[in-house]
This record gives sequence, structure tokens and C-alpha cells, in this order.
Amino acid sequence: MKIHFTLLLIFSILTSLVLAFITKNEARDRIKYFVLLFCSFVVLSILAGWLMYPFPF
Amino acid sequence: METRPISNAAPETGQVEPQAGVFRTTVACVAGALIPGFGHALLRKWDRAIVFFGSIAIMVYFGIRLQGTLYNPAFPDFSDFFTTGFASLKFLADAGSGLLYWIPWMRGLGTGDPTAYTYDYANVFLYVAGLLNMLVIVDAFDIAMGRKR
Repeated sequence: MKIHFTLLLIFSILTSLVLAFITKNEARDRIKYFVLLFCSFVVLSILAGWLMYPFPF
Repeated sequence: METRPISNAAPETGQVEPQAGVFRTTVACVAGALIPGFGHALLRKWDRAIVFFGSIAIMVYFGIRLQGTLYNPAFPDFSDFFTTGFASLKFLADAGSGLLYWIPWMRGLGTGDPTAYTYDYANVFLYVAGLLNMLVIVDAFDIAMGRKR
């Protein structure tokens, strides 16, 4: 379990799940919100990683 | 002095009567602070209780397993606030998990290894587990107060 991307996926799934259950009441809304949050976590993390790539530290 | 009808008194004071009762609301919040999701279980929100406990417990497990640090109880020393203040915040974030923090901490787990490949990720897992549980407690409070279903 030393692959950062796998850890990112696990973190995103768990955090999105909790936030979806806190903020939404209906199952359909929860699924939509979960998918939105999960995709945001993953895509924005990869984007931030690429933006930081040129920095030497 | 102007007198007002009693029916108008409640909205002006802004007080909300807890649906679950003051005692049950307090018990739900304290239970949620001790064990993630337990407050929701007491309020019979089984789906939320299972998801909250499962997710937060898994995050704490990963945090400890990946060699993160469970920060010791620390209070800010105002002569060196920059160093000790952050340590206190890290402790607060970790301790938000309730017994999921205190039991491993008392057993000497979570000593952390800053040279480990996964150290930073592990700490984020531990911080976020505690912070999410704080949100979960607020959610239990809102449900008990009748502000949420």
C-alpha cells in the first residue's frame, strides 16, 4: 500500500462518502454529490500535481 | 409597556425546541464524540451511523498502518506559540476521532516515522478522520434539534 494514487483514491472515496451523507438526505442526491466530490478530489489533485511538477522542491 | 401576543414570542427569541429532547440531544452528541456514528445510531439513523463509523475507522486504521503520528495531548505555550500552537491544532484534529484516537494512543500505537514513504499521507488520513467526526457530531446535533431529517 505504498502507491500514492491508490491512497488518493481511498482517501477520496471515504471523504466523499461521509460528506455526501452529511449534506444530502435522498439516495439519488447522495450518489450525485458523491460522484461530483470524488471526481473533483481526483482530477484537482492530479492537476495540482502537474502544476507543481516544474518546482524543484 | 407594549404587550405582545404569546404566539409571537417564540420566533423572536429564535429558540428551537430539540425534537429528541435536551437529554437525548446531549447524549447523542457526546456518544458521537466518543465513537464516530454512535450519536446517529442513538437517533436511529442507521445508514448514516454505519457509513460514518466505517469511513472514519478505516481512515484511522490507514493512518496508523501507514506510520502516521498520533500527536500527544498538547496545549499552546504562548511564549513559543508558532511551534506549540500548530502542535495543539494537530492534536485537536487527531483527537476529533474520539476513542479511535485515544485507544491506539494509550496502547502506544501511532508513534509515526517521518522517514516513511507514506508519512504525510498517513497524517492527512488521521487529521481528516478527526475533522470529519467533528462535522458528524454537528450533523447529529442538527438531526436531534429537528433541523434535518
